[in-house]
Amino acid sequence: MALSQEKLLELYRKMVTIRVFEENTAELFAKGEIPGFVHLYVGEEATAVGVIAHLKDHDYIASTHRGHGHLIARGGDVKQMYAELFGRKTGYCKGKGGSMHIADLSLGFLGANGIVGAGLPLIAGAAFACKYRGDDGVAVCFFGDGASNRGTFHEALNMASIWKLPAIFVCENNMYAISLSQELHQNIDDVADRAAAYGLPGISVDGNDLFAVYEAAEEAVKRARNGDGPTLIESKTYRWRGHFEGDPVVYRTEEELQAWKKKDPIERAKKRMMETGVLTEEEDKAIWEEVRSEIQEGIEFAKNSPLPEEESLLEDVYCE
Amino acid sequence: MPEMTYLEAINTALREEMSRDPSVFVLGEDVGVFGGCFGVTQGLLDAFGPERVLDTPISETAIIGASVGAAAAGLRPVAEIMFMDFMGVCMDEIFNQAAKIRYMFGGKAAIPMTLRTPCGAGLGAAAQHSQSMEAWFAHIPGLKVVMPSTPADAKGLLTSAIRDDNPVIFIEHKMLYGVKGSVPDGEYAIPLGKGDVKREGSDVTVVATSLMVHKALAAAETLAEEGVEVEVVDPRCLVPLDQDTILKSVAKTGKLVVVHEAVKSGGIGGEIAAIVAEEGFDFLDAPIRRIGAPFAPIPFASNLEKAYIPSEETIIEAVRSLA
Amino acid sequence: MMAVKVVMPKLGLTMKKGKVARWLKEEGQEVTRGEDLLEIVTEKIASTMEAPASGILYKILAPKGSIVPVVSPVAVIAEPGDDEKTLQQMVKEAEAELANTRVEAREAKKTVKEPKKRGVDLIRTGKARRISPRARRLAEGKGVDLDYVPGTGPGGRVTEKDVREYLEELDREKEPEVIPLEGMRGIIAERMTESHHRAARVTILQEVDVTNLQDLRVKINEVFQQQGRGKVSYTDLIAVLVAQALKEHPRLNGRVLEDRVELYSGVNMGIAVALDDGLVVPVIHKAHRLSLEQMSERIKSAAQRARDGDLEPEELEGGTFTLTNLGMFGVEGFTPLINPPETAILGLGTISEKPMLKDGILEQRLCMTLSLSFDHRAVDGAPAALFLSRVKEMMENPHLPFQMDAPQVSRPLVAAGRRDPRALVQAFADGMEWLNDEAPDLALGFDALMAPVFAEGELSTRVKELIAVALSVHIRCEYCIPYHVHKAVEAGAHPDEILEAAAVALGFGGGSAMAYVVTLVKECIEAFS
Repeated sequence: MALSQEKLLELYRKMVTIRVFEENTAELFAKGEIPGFVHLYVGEEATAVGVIAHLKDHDYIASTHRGHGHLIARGGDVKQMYAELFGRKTGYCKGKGGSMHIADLSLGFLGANGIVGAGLPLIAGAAFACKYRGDDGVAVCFFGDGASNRGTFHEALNMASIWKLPAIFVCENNMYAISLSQELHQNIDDVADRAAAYGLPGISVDGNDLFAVYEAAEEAVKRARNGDGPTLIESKTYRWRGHFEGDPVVYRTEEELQAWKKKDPIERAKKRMMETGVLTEEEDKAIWEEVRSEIQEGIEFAKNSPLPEEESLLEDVYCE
Repeated sequence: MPEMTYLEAINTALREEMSRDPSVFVLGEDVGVFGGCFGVTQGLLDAFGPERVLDTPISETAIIGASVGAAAAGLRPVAEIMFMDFMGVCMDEIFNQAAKIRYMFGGKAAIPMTLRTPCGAGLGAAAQHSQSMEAWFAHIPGLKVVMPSTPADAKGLLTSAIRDDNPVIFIEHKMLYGVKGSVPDGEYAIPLGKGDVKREGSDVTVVATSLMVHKALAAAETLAEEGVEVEVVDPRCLVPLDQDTILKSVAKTGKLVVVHEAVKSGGIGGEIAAIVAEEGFDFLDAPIRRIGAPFAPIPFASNLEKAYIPSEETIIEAVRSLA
Repeated sequence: MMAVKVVMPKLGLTMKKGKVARWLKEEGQEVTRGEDLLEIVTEKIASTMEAPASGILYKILAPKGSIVPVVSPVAVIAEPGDDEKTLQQMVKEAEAELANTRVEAREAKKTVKEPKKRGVDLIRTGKARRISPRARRLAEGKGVDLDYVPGTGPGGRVTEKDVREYLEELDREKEPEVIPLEGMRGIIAERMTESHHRAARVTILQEVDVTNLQDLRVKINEVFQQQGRGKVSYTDLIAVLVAQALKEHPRLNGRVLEDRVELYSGVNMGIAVALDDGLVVPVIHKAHRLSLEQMSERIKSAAQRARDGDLEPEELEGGTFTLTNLGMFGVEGFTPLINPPETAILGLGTISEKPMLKDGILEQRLCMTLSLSFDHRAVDGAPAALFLSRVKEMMENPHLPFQMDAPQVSRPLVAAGRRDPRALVQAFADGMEWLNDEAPDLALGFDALMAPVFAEGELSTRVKELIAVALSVHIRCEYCIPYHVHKAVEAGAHPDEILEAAAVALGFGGGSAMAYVVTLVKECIEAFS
């Protein structure tokens, strides 16, 4: 692992950005300023940031309904993100998609997805496109432990495996499929074990450890670029908030949550970076300050943005 | 113009488009070595190699999901679902992904994919290998739905479907694969959404799709002997639907029979009838008649299957009741 | 044993159907003859019906609540020993019968309800009519009232074709059939216009009793037939008579020219002959010299050649008088236009039976109206009327000019004066008797009205009855006359008083009153005095 100080600080800053973005989103949603559904990524920041750190511009990502973190990690614009959450014309999707459908094709970001497990075959296709073009591109699919029970998981991993597609399947095992804990929804401890069924390498990592995720992804991306086929990475982590904002979270204990909060991926990364002298307390404080103001700017931008014109209702149903 | 079968016309369109545009590739179950379940992709593997003619596992979800992903990533996949009846398996990829991505993403993505699939009864293939489910897809904004009835239309429309930047459901009728007809040589593209008057007549308009176009034409011949001139309109595309051609014809004849092989209730015929009732009410000189299959799964026994499929006689009867 | 059908009883004269209110036994239960089986409700009564036989209530055909026409089966009772097959057969038949009678009942009701069709099927209004949108749009655009458009589409739907055909028909109705005023029409137009513009036409009408003429015609034709000669028509007869009359009245037999009137002693009689499309007037020259038979032959020949278009030009010239006949079309009197430059034209009307007083007796006679148009420039009203009355006289006494015996015929229409006055009084009395039984109120009311009218008052009953005699004669009531003559005699009136009272009616009814006075009144006085 050869991470420069600059790169480390960039990754750290992204994790902080995700955290602040999501906390503000929770607040705005509670105030009724954001309509619809939002699913927040708080607590899982290390996975998105650790994996996406390896991606090049021409690589692809398929995200999930809990997708804000992936886009921020990919360098998404928080202004356009907030604007989309607010349903404004200036949003990523001109207010037509909302939280669950944010996409940025210019970043190879094939979108969040309202259907659990839908991204898996999509990313097989994107990976095929990379291979077809022969441009060393790779495609990463994020999905949850819940999605690993869907048929798409099986079909996509099998197809990617037989065709040796440059795909990285990243299972964000946050221990819950909506309200159902992992032990209630699958009879295995490690989703990574399923890789064997497709003749793929499967690796299970501590998803709250940025460096562990980073290392696992580094290997997987290398394999993919080398034409060795896909890898299944299971990143064990935890979502601090409910499945969606407004979830009464009756299916888990406060003790469990507090125990996971002690394993806060941002705190752990900060500690390690401070231990290695990459980050000082002052610098950390400055980063948070900067991020907060950037986020505030994004919120202001969104709030001051116009709503989409009603005439746009029928636009973009088809390509002309 | 060379004579060729409907199947050869589709094959020709695939070859021509693959030759013309390197981003076009074909995937599906048994489309490679086997040449496709009905032989539509015969010879493509030899011509274009395994990189562009992909035999997939029996994974309809992955076939369509991967097509959507590849299309989003800039390729032009032409996927084959072996029987239309299997489309329920990959329905999410069609109606929640392919159809909606562009809109959900605010117009920032395009899904230029074509999904070819054979529909139709007549082979004794029973309830899960004979259906005509076009109405499902015509109900979904974001998809285009094409149903060619002749070899020439098949070539011209498939060419346009592949070039179209939208997901197109291209529905072939398995009983038409062997039907011969003249097909224009070389590049031939028929714009999607343009209906075709297959036979001109002044007395009754019959709007028919796919195989039913041929039954309507045969019925028209019989009726002409009785002095009833039937105009047969083939919309060719259900989405976008050429309402003008239909309305123009009804404005002329005042009478409309809509025929499709799919189950009558909830079928596209109801949509066409409703459009005419809404937009062309004053043209009507008689109630609109719809002809479709009865509200039952498709039976196996050949006599039952024959009774199930709308027949030339049924069309004749319906026209007579209006003429 | 045979199973028994239980039928809906007819509980009253007007009962057409009954409702099964309740079954008191269930299917499969044993029933005894005379035991209560079911309750029935009609529009008027509720009733319990007894089992008509003993056995098992095998099948209820009309469940509770059913409405069943009378004498239709409602159940089947199985008697001991009935086999299942027979029973089922019976149930089947009974069910069919029940279904049939219900249908019949419904249809009977339907036929009653069906609205009467108008004479023409063209006009059928109402919301239930089916009209295609296309037809409606066309109709609205063209302002067509769809009520007048018959529907010929399936189920009687009015289609575009129907509206178009209706419109075409309207157009056709608007378009006149063009008959150019040329050829014969042109000549007719020219001559009639000339006649209308130039002649100072006056038309006078005269009713003629042609009963004798008819008898004569019958007699002549009988003789002619025996001798194998042709039949003669009224026109032939009248032509001969008119020719004679014209000889006597030459003012009517002439031509009115620019500056003079030419009168002729010889009669050239034009006979108007109707063609399919037009009219010609061949002239029978020297008509006054022709015998009836010659006249008949000449007219027939001229008419035939007129229809065939074979008349010679000179046959259309030189007329001095014209005869025209519209009688065959039922026309009575009309105002014929004079055939210029002639002086007059005589129109013959239809012959119809009419009541006519002849010598005080009402008779059924045959009458014809003569319409004489003359040109006042040449002849005045009185001479024209004299001529016409001469024609009438000849027609009414045709035996004179034809030197035949006067016919002896009488056709009394009413046998007044021939009936026994007492019988007439009795007839009225009998009638009142009958009224007393049938409608006593009417009879009593009539009596109550009459009693004070004829009671002794300022005027005596005798005077009142005398007044009644006069009124009876005036209204010509053959029952009132004997009744009041009788009453007047009873009240002490003298026969002379009665005669004088009756004679008062002469002041109002003239001849007809006289007819009654000298017949019925006279007979009544003789009978009751």
